[in-house]
Amino acid sequence: MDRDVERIERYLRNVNAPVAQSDSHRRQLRQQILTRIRRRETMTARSGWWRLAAAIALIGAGAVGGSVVSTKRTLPDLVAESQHGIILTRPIALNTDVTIPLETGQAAQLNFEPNPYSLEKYLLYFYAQEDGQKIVRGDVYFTDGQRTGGGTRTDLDGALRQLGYTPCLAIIKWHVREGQALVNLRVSDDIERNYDEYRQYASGGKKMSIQYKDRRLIPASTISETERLAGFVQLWSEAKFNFAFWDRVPQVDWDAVLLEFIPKVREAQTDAQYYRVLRRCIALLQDGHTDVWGPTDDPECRPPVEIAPVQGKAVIVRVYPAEQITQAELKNELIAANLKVGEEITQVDGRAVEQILAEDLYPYIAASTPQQRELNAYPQLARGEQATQAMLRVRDLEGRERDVRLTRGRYGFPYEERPFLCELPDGILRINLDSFDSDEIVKQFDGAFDKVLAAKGLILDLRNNGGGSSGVGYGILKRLIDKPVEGSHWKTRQYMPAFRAWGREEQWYEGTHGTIEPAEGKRYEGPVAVLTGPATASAAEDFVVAFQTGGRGKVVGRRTLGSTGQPLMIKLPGGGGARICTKRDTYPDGREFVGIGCIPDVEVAPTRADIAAGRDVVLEKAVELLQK
Amino acid sequence: MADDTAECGLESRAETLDEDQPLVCAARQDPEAAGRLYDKHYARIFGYIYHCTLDVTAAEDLTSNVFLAALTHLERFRWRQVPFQAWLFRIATNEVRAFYRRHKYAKAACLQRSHDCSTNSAPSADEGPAVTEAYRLVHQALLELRPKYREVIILRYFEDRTIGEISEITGAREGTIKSQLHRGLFRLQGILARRRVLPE
Repeated sequence: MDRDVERIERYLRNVNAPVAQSDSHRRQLRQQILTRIRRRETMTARSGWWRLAAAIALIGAGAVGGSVVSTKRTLPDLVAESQHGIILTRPIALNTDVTIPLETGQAAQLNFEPNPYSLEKYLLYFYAQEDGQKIVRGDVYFTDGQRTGGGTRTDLDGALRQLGYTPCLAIIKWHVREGQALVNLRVSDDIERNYDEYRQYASGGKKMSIQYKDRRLIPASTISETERLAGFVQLWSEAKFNFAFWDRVPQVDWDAVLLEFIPKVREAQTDAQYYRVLRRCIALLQDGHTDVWGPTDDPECRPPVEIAPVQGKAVIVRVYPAEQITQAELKNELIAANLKVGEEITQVDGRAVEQILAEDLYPYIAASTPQQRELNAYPQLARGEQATQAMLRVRDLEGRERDVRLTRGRYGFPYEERPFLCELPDGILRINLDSFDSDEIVKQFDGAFDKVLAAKGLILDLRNNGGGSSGVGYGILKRLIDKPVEGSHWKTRQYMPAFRAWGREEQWYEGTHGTIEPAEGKRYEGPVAVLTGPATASAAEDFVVAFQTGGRGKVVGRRTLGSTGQPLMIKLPGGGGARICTKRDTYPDGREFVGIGCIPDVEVAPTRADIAAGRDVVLEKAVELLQK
Repeated sequence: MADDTAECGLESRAETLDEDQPLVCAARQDPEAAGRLYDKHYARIFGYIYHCTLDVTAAEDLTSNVFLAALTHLERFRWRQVPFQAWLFRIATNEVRAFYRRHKYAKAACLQRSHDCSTNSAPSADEGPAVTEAYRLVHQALLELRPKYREVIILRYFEDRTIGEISEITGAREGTIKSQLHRGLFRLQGILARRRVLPE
């Protein structure tokens, strides 16, 4: 094999790569970075800026030595253990003292007022061993529902350090009165104000600064309110005047949306929250080519499984190879979970899959069709912060349920590159067209054309084809047809301000993608089947439209994604962006496929059992049709 | 040192992961140390991004993103068998991917059935160091490759990284890197042969 690349290796080694330098940039950037770091440090020390080293000080008469009972317990565990239920607090403001009376075994859910951090909800749980009226031992736990940290005075630091807690300086005092613990709590980002108390605790020589972990502490916004509003209004107005599918969303009163979302944009405390508001807004338009992306994406960590929609259920379609996990603990966890492809996930962290989809995912996903919404949402079902635990309720093929815990991480599933060409029994040839993004694909097809000509039947598998350039698909199709085939038609809004002022109806400008002429020379005249699925999108859908219009063969599988068009690109403040779809494509006869998907001539969808057995029923059906 | 290690949130381990470890620890508290860390790695990261984009302006922008992200969020860096420089390369790789993704969107917006669009998504090479014709041809060919192939080829042949180092940077296993390198080279050879840069 190495001989294959010997020439290019030799060639590359002789190419002189230029040495690029930019001294002025180097100096400017150095100054910029150091200024930022110094400013941050100054503000931290003087006025308690958001980037405080986190600390929890537990100062209490009743808190004495002891050990951490468990730091693995999560919110549901603690709730279950709570003997006297949970007290819900009023929204707590930062830097304000609150007193929470707790009996042993009781928990308080701390709800925080909007703040520049991700502090929303924490659970404070108190457990005490009493000797008469005197508490001889006490444990306090904090949990945000995913991670739990806690312990006694002696061990709290270590426990929380392990867990990567916590966002701010929290000062807790305990008092025991009449058999009750009164927990005085102050969550603060003002280290100067709290410094004496902090030092008092730390005077034992043990510094209780706790490293903050990943994204739990969200920095104060870098985008001003004016910029946010400007970004939102720009998005809103570009959509109003350019979006091509208003008739599809008659329920959306876009002018009312402006009024509804302006307060939400202003209330957003962080950049991430701002982009979440924009995503929610643009998702109202229900179009896959009309969306918003932020400068930072949502957490991408997930358990080592890939979840996909199968007949409306969340089904495991891939399990990360345990042998590729280097950390023994995580590896053993996965092996012990014994997950199998085809098993269904019914709950994540105690919440039903349907609830997560409806509340957390669907409202933020821009999608033209249900299949696109599902395709985007299901892989995100178990996502969360790195190193947190996901509790999955798994239903096997026999209907038995079990709970498994898996740690989230960045599991990069290996990309499974499929061979371009597969020879199947009975002289049938299968060609995997996983993309139309390069003319190389047409050349690859041409290179294999002798085999195509010799085949008794041809299967073009477009199930993984997310699009590219329609011309590439047409370049292949022209070798399969003997008469011209009309490509899809399109139209775009023709906005005339004066016409609008006169109250005239808006006009459309219409065009076509031309006609695909048969290729000169040899063409394949045997039977052809095209395989499609919900990941068949964009330019691949244009191919299917032309293939079906030309009546060249059967389309087998599931509906395509149902989303294509020409997006208008918009820059948003803070480094994010948006797209607005400006063009709507149809079949040449005017039939719509955007918002529906190209409907196969023979609909075949794999079941859980098929996936578990590794059967490709779509391919089997196509082979059966070609054999006939 | 033990205290420093605890202060830096390092896992206690006998061996030092790489030579940057003490400097990174110091840089978390001392801006001057952060400056030294920056000076040490700037040229390498800038050069790498330039090789990926062949565009000085883009390289400046992306290099700024890399160092601003890395040095102002240094506390997020954890020693997990990955040297600091590999972490920087990883951020740089992500920045380059994002850069090309943005270009791809723009390109896709033009390509999608708009036949008269003449926007060229390839970075401009108007500014910057003198570039040999051979290098420019290779770079143009590299742009036709998928990003995963392009990255490993640049890291291996223009950055002289070992397979192990590329594995640390990309997070992929060494076997995967070898395979990507082989496939990438094979395809690159095809492209160059087609363009008559290499004999058929």
